[in-house]
This record gives sequence, structure tokens and C-alpha cells, in this order.
Amino acid sequence: MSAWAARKLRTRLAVAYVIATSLVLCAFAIFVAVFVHERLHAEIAHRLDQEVEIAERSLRMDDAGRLVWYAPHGTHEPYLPLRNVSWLDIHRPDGTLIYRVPESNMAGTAAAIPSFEKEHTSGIFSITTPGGVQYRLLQRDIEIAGQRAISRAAISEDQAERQLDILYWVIGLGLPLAVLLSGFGGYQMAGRALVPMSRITAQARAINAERLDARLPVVNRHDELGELTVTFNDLFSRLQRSFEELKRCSADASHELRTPLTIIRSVGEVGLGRHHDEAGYREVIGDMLEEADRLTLLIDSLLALSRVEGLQCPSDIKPVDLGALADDVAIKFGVLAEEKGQTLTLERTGPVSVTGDSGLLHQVIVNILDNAIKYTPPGGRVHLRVDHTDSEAILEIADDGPGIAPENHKKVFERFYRVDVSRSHTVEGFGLGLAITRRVVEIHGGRIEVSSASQTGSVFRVVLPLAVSPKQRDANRG
Amino acid sequence: MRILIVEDEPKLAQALKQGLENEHYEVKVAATGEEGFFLVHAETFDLIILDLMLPGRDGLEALSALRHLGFSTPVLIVSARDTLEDRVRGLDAGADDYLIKPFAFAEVLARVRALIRRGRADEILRFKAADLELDRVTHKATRGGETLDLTAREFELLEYLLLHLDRVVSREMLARDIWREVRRVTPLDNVIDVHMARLRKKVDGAAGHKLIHTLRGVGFMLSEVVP
Repeated sequence: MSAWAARKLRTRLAVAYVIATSLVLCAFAIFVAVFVHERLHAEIAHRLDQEVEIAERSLRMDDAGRLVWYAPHGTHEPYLPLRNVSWLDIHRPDGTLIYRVPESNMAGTAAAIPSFEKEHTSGIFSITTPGGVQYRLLQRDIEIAGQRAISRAAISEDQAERQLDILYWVIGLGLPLAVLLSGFGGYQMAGRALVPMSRITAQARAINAERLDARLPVVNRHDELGELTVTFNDLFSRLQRSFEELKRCSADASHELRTPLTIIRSVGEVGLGRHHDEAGYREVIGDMLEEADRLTLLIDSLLALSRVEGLQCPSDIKPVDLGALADDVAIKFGVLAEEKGQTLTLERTGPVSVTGDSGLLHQVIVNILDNAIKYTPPGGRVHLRVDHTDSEAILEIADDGPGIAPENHKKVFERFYRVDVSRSHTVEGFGLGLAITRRVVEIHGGRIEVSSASQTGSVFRVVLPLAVSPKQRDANRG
Repeated sequence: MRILIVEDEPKLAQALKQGLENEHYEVKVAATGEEGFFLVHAETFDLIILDLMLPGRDGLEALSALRHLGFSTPVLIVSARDTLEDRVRGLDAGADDYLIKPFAFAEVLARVRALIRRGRADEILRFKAADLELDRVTHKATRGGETLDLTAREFELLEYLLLHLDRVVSREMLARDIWREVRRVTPLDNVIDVHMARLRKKVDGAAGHKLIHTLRGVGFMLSEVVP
């Protein structure tokens, strides 16, 4: 774990917040500075433009055909706006002066005025006088009645620079302060937001295997923390359910194991207690051996169940023809139906190919069919059907038995569940077959369900994903 | 025929010894891997029945060591470890057969016979027990000269019973050898019972003398005398 990841979430949130805030503030400051700078320059340029235009209106042609300064009030007084510029002059192309803003207006900047140079082209540019003062200078060619003249106007940039300086100071001092404040605020906010989190942690810590019924209090189920709490509570519910199921299962298992052991024990004890003839002893020993067989079968079934429950997918995957498999099982078990006078029919079309462990799938059909035959009365009907849709293989086993009440439709797949509890000892089996069956179907990516119209038998339906045959694959590709 | 049993559970060892002695084998018991290893060096045996979980030296280890030293005595492993990998490991170490606990004694006997018989060509083509005859070539069975009308499965069953004449055949052996069912959880017992009942009706139904017997909790036996 890096040093960064090792920090508390609160610190990490605050730091991330500070970084984000600084980036945004910097970008904003740069934007403001550039914008203000541009605005000031634009304003200066605009003012120069106006001044020059006003000055040009005062030019007249004299009798000699030369451009001269004409003051409407008979003086050299300029228009008032001309006071806005630092300095303004108009020359003839030959370098002679037509007009210059009087010295009095120029606030002692005369010494700084650069001399007129004809080579200067028109335009606006910055100049620095030998005195070190920055000016913005506008130079323009004018033509009045065929006579050319060049006007120049300049405004000191001092004021604009001062304004910019103030702006830079404000940004330079304010920005770190803002970042500092946002960091502090972010740290506080992250702390506040995380308080319920620590509370949840503490409460979740208190819930353990002994106290699985406790739940976290949900404050607001619509915000993220509420969702987290609800998710946690769901998890606890599931855990509690599986713990309870596990407890019940081990209780059931020990009960089931105890029954044959008790029988072996008492039959043995009673058998020893009295003198029997040989046939009598054979009877006693036979009884004990039968129960030993029952025990073996139970242990094998429990092992089989725990093995398939440990699997996420079948370990041995091959293409399996469900129809052929059903055929095989029907032939094998048909004899049992025959013995009970039942009709066992198999309805199937062509091959229905699924992928999986053929041994386990065989087991699925056997378990369901065995149950169907067991619970169907003599003379009844058991019908097997293998079919498929576009993507799914379907195996249906319908029987004529007493049916299963809707409230038990889910329970039949639970471990150690037997439909009629009171008869549990007369109907053989441990109630593990369907639990194994369901798990096998699940690890094959399928599902199993039972439907039952009461009194008219039940239908077990296994749906498995259809294997893609090479032919289909080609068809899809083409 | 001498058999060595290497098994640390005394009751099981005793039961196996008794059972095998009843079948006229000469049996020695070793309770640990070391003792077994020593006995194999000191004496000659025709077969070793070996438990895997032993105190001291592990059964598999002892077996590998023996095979390494060049002993080729057939070995039948009996173990409670029942996964495919366990079986493969046992057979890889040099075992000739692998039997999972709990087992039916009839099964042990059948495997012992098969292992001792191994290598000898004694393919029997005609079976005879009292007035019951079965011909493997013509695929015909008769009782008292009357041809029995048997299905393929019933013929196979009768053949299996005759092959194990006078010996017990367990349901598990039948499930594995006749129905070729590998998994022990498949509820085949009822199926086997039905077929057996039908076969019995055909073989013993008309005749007064019963040949097929059921041993409760054990299995079936074809024998001229009532067991």
C-alpha cells in the first residue's frame, strides 16, 4: 500500500479538494488578469483614436494650400477632450509641425516626447521615452483635400499599470488565502460526511455470528450511506439465513444419522438378549446390515451434496445430448414404473445438446424420475418430455401423484425436506435428491421449477442453456 | 493362498481375517505400515490388502517403497478417501485395485478373487449349477432342459450370479458391473430388486428347488444349497 493510500479517507478527501480548488482558482485568476489587461489596452486605444479624430477636425487648408491648425475660438485652445492625452502633435510629411498640444497641458512631460520620425509607420505601439516612462502611441496618416499629414497621440500607461499592479497584488495575496480556507473547510466537511461511516463501522463490528439478528439503523435510505446500510443489512439477512440453514442442516443430518445408528444398536441389543435359532439371528443381522446400508447411502448423499455445493461450474464439461440421456434413464427406470403398473412415456424430438457433466445431468433426470415414480400411485402416468427453444433446452417430468401444495414449491428443493413429514419413514430417501438436483442444475447455468395443479400431479421443469452446435455457430457467423 | 491385511482398526482387521479364512485363505494381519513392510520382506504373500490411513508409516508411502524395491505382489487398497484423485494416486503408487470404505464383504471377496486370478486365462464358456445351465456362446440359459426366456439384462444378471457361484453378490457390485453406475448415490437398488425378482421368477418359478437366494442386508447368491 502506498503512503497515499495509507492516509485516512478524510485527509485524502481534503487534499483532493484543495488541489481541485487551487486549480480552479488559478485558472480563474489567470483569466481575470489577461482580461483586465486587454480591456485597459483597448480602452487606451479607443481614447487615442477619439482624440486624434477630434484634433483632425481642427485642420483647415490655408490660402497657400497648406494644412494649418484652425481654432474656432480664435485661439490655440484645444477642445476639452484633448486634455485627456499626455501629448498630441500633427506634422506635415516634410517634418514641419502643424500643431502640438500646448506645454501647459503636458504636465511636464515635454522632455519625454520622442522626436518625430517619418519612418514610423501607422499603428499603435508601446514606446519607452529616455526618461523611462511608458507610453501608448497612436500614429496615423491623414489626408484632407489631397494634403497629407501625420498625427500622433500618446497616453501614459502609468495609470493602467498601477491598476494592473493592484489586481496582481489582490490575486497574489487572496489566492493562497482562499486555498488555505478551502482546505480547512474541505477537511471539516469530509470529517462531517464521514461521521455516519464510522458509526456504521462500529455497529457492524458488533454484529457477529452470535448476534446475526441485529441490523444497522437506517437514517436516510435515499442517500449513499442509506444505500450502504441497506446493502449491509441485506447481506446480514442472507448471512443469517445461510447460518440458520447450516444449523438446521447439521441438526437434520445428525438426526438422520442417529436414526439408523439407533436401529442398529437396539436391534443388536435386543437380538443379543434372547436366544434365537439361526434364522432368528439372520433376521437380526440382516436388519442391522440394512440400516448400515442406509447410513452409507446417507453419507454418500451428504458428500455428493457438499461436493456440488462447492462447485461453481461442472468440472467435467462435454457436449451432452439431453434426449439420449433421458432415453437412457427411462429405459433403466422404466422397469420400476412397469412394476407399479404405471405408464412411462418419453416424448422427444431430435437431439437436444447441452454442455456439462453427463454424470451429474444423468443424476438430475434420475432423481426427478425416481421421485415421480415413487409418488405416482399404481396405474398412474409419468411423462418425460425433452424439447428446446432457440436458446434453451427443456426437460419436463410430469407425474400423476398427489401434487405439491404451492407453499411447498420452493421447499422441495431444500435439504432434508420431504413432502409429507408424517410419512417420512415409510417413504424412502432422505430428502437430499432434489437439493443435489437443484445445485447441479444451477452450476450448469440452468434453473429448475415445479408447477403443480393440486390433485393432478406435479411437473418438474429443468431449463438449461442450449449448447451452440457447430452448424448454428457457422450460421450465426455467416 | 496367503493374504496380508495391513489395517490398524482391529475389529475391521479381525472381520476381514475371519471372512477370508472362511473362504479358505491363509491370512496374516499387520497393524502398522512398518509391521506390514517387515512381513512382506520376511514372508511371501499372494495378495496384500492395504489400508491407507495408518499410524506411523502412511499406506501409500509403504506401497511406493515396496514397488520401488521390486515387490510385485498384487495390492488392494481399502480407504475411506473416495475422490477420483485419491484413487488415481493409489493406483499410481502401484496398487492394483481400490475399494472405498464402507464396503460390502462380498465385494472384498470378489476383488480378492479377481486379483489372485489375474493373468490366468480361465474364461468359462458354460456354467452349470444343479439343473441350471448357461451357455455364453449361444447366449442361451436352460433350467431342467427348458429354455428360459430371458431379457438381455436378465441374462447378464444370471451370468454374473453364476460367475460368482456360491458367493454373495452385493447390490453395489451389480450396480457397478451390470448397470455400469459409477456414482453410489443413484437410487438403483429398487431397479436391481425388480430385475432380480423377475429373474428369480423365471429361473425358480417352475422348479421346486430354489437356486437364487436373497441375503437380507447383504445381497444375492446363486447356490444349490440354502445359505
